[in-house]
Amino acid sequence: METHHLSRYPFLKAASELVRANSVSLDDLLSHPAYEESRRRGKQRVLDALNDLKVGQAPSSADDVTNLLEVLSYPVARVLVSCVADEFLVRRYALAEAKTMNERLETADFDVMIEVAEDLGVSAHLESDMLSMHFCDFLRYTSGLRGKDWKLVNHEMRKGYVLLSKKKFGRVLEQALSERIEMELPLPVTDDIIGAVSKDVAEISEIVAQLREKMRDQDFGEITITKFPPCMKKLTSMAEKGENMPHAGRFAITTFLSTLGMPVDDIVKTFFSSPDFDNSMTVYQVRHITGDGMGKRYSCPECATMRTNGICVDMDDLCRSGRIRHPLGYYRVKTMSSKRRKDEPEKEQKVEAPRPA
Amino acid sequence: MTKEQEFVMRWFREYYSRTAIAGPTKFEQREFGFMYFDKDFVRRHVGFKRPDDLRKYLVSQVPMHVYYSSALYEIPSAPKMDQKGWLGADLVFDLDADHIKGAETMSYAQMLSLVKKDMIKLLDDFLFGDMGFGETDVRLVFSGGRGYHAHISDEKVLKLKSHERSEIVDYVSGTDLDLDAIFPKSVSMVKDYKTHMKAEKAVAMPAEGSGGWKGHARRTTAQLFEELRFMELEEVRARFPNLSRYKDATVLGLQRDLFGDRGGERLGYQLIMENNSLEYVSDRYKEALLDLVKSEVRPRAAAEVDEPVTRDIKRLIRMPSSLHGKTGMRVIEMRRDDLTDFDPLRDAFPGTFPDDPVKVHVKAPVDLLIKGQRISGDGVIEVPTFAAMFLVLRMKAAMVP
Repeated sequence: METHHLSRYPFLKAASELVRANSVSLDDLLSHPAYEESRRRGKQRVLDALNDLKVGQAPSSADDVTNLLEVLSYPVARVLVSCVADEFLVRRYALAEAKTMNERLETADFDVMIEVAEDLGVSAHLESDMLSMHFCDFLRYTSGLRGKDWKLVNHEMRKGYVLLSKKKFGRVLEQALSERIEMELPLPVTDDIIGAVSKDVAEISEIVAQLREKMRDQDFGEITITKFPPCMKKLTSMAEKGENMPHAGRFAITTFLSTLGMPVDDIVKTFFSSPDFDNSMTVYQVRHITGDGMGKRYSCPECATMRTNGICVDMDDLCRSGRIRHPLGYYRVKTMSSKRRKDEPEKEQKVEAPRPA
Repeated sequence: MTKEQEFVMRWFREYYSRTAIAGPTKFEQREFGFMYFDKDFVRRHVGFKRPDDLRKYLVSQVPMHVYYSSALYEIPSAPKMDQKGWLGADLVFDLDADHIKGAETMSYAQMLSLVKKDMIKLLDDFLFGDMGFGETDVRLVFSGGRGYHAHISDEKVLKLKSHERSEIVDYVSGTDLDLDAIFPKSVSMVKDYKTHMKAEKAVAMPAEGSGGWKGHARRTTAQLFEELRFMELEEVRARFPNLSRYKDATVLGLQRDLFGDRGGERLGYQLIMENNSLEYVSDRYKEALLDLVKSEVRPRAAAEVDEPVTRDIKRLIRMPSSLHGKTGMRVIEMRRDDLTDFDPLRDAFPGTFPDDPVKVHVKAPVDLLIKGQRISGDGVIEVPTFAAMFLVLRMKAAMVP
């Protein structure tokens, strides 16, 4: 196997075999001067992931040593992420590795795509210049990708294999790799390992903390019902009036409020006047939906799903503008336009001034 | 216990004591559930170590309905779902007469033959066709009642989650199918008039050998051409209400373009199929053709399966080789070849129900063909035991002492 190829896709099983064949111990990798470059690139992988959602450029070298050092930067990065052991970092790093792979696959040949796919456990075929993958793998990794474009029914399926454009095929693999890395990390680490990389770990932890802070700033700010889309206004008022709400409605309003940052207790209060209000039950349900604690956090349904569930109501001009595909998108647009109004009041006025006939 | 319960349970017990019950694959990982003739509750969360334990249970308890889980569990008998340790679930399809329009007014035999047609579509076009499962991957089962089930235990499907299974339902039922992408339009010519520009759009049609819904759409189109070819205007009107917004002249013009002599060796519809383009119909009629084809693809090609059943990864489903407690028929596992000629009322009553005559009182006149024998009459009638089972269980007939 060409080492250059492995340096581009260091997560491949063949890459870890290369490492094993060169009998590089973890100890050496983390401290021996020979691997200084791997440690530098490994740290860079993580930093780039945090800053740009990428893991940087692989060296374009035909030199086996350079390539091996690049391959080794991958286990270094994984060790660093595992030592920080932060859920947000794991997700972000996994996504960055996956996105970088997808980017590199854009210029790859079909047989490389097939090889990467099989390595990720995706059964893939190449038939008369068409890439395809087994529909079960397709379903597994596209379930988070909503919309007409990703529906199985709108793909050509032959004998169990879904034909895909190169771009879509790469996108599915991105999902597969990202899920795989998220599942694998954090790895168990010993005190010795943590000791060996403590400086880098401290630096990365600091950046993670800053980034989290920054994300909080980008928050939706104080929750204002005037920015709610009509569907959520309706659901809120139903809850307040104590009208009985369909399950899908409770689910939608709960996920919506939770994403806006409303604490569980406040969401529960919203349901106080429901006729079938049962405090402990409501708390339990809200906790479950919002993933309070360590559980899975559900996201707010998009407009299409709201429509399917019959709770998309009173659509207004903004809903119909074609810009809104998600209730949270509506809220974001309203938040942005009210910010703009505050920042540039005159400009806004100009736009809104009626034109002379 | 009523006389009817006594009668029915006697012959159910006889069946279970004389029949080898194979039970599902991965037997010890399945949960079982039961309903009874003589008890009001549903018993579930039951696990058995060996098929023989299940058989003993069936003989001693004589349940009315026997179910097992499509799911595999670490501890199938754990009393709460989250304690069971879900390991995966078969992919299950349920086709039931409930989904058939006008089923209420049909006889049982008519209803079942329609469900069978849908099942054949599901199997041949989707499970064996598009999804590429082999005959041995799919366990095909007559439910003993109003429909058929298909179970797939292939490793690939076991771990699929609910919403992924919903996508499969959407696939076989053509839900959210994007027909515009199947018959794509492209600008073929821009005409420049004095007052305005007009773009002519060419409509393409899926090529021969296309897979998935493209293939289904192509076959539907070919089928439609065959039907339209010899239809009189009135027939077209009656058969295709979707064309009602088009004038008679348009329908006739369309037929002329498709089937009329155009001077060459080939007729219009043949050229369409050969060249994968609707451009052999003049622009005046093209929209009507496209409307018609698009409106027919889904109803003809889709298989209407019961969504919640496929979606549910923890469902209990009727066990093959058990008896259906509302008909007395066996839940029969069969091969695809057997399905073509399968007739439940003829083939599904167990041999352990004897021919011995029994008197029953029917509430309404009956006229049925059961195991090839005509069963008819009103009030008190004398019928073979197997027919009496059906009449008592399904038609609420009463035993006559």
